Amino acid sequence: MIDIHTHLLPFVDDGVDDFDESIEIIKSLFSQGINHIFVTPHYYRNRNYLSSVSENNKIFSELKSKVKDLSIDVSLYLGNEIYYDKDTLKNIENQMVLPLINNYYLIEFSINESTYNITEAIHNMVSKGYKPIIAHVERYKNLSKLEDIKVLRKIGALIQVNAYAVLGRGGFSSKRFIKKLLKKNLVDFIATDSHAIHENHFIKAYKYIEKKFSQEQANEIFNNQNIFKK
Amino acid sequence: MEFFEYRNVVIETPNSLEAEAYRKLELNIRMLGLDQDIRVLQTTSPSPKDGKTTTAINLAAVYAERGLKTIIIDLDLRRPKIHRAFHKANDIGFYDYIVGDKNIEDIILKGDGDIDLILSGERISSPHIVLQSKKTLDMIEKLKTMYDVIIVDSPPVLSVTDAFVISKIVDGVIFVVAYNQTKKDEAKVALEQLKDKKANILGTVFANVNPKISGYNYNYYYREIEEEEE
Repeated sequence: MIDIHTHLLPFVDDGVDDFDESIEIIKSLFSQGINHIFVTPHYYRNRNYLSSVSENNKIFSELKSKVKDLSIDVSLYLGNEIYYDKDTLKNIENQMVLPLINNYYLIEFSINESTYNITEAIHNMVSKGYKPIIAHVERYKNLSKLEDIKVLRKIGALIQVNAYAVLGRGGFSSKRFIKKLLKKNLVDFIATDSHAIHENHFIKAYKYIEKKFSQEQANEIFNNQNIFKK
Repeated sequence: MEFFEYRNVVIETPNSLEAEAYRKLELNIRMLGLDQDIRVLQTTSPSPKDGKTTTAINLAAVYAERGLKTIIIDLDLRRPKIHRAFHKANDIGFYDYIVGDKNIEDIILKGDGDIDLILSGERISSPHIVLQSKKTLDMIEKLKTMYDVIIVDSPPVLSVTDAFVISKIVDGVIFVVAYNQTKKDEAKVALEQLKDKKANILGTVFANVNPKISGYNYNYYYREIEEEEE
């Protein structure tokens, strides 16, 4: 299974404090059945998370070698969680931020962002040939209708929800919204968005979906690496 | 949230009744042009979603089809739509000319069907002031030397003053109302306001008419305002 959204690169954002914490989480994710982990440090101007690709790469290499030394059988990939602003398209073009893979970019917005600005962002990215994945879609105050998510997917967005929110740890309304999305097959990825050591949200979310929906649907969403092959 | 889909019937289905209606619109404007020089046209409407952008892009396609050098400028700086209609990212445009150091030539994009475009670009604060600036006037004057026809898409009349400001820098205004959408009172008030501001209203486009409804041979039809008032 894959986890496309984590903050396991120490020293660059509000994620893990050090390599030890990162490795502990990687071990935990591995024990939950994940063997592909995307490390996605924030690129977020207003919060001053602006660690460069080369800086990130340096820390990432160190993390990878530590994981290798411990013989944990996971593949790690470096990307970014990009806070969308007026410079995002330029930053992508200038390779100041990284895709998860190929042209798939994990993006987030202000939780109060208007639906107009969100659709504009998705339209702009798609027009440039990028494939935007909206991170933790359940968080945005103005995206509370199924119709909104359908429109965003129609424009070309992929949808990610957080595992802990599936379980209700992000509040009841998020949980209810995600349930509706799952019912209509509008979720492309469930990810941990791990910032620190947490309980086994991933496997719990898998089991929840297996129980509430079907094993087939759970397998499909949690093994969505196939999307990247399209 | 809605999914914007703008059909350019003149390009997509050139033999359709709808496309023919736009050719008729162009012919009517040409007739009015016998006594006056009409090369800079503004499309506007009372309220959003009345069909001004669809009218702008289809009319532009007719001019381009006739071999005239045609450009559309998106001066709806608050809710720009031309980039959506032409599947372009709105990352370069009027803003870069006004605020940045770009020349007009640098901000012109190629659209479908030999139509050139100037998008709005990044959001501008106080559009109504910028639209009255010498720089905006200079742009129109320069474009007049480069193009046969300039179509300016503008905000709806009843929302902001921008449409009036733009009406001062164009040769004529095309007032678009939509069947089953535009409220009669709003259409009247908007028209009165345009007249008060001494806009040169060329006529009205009645958009969104279903050709299947008896009594209408065309999806869009056009007639002079004076005729309507009689």
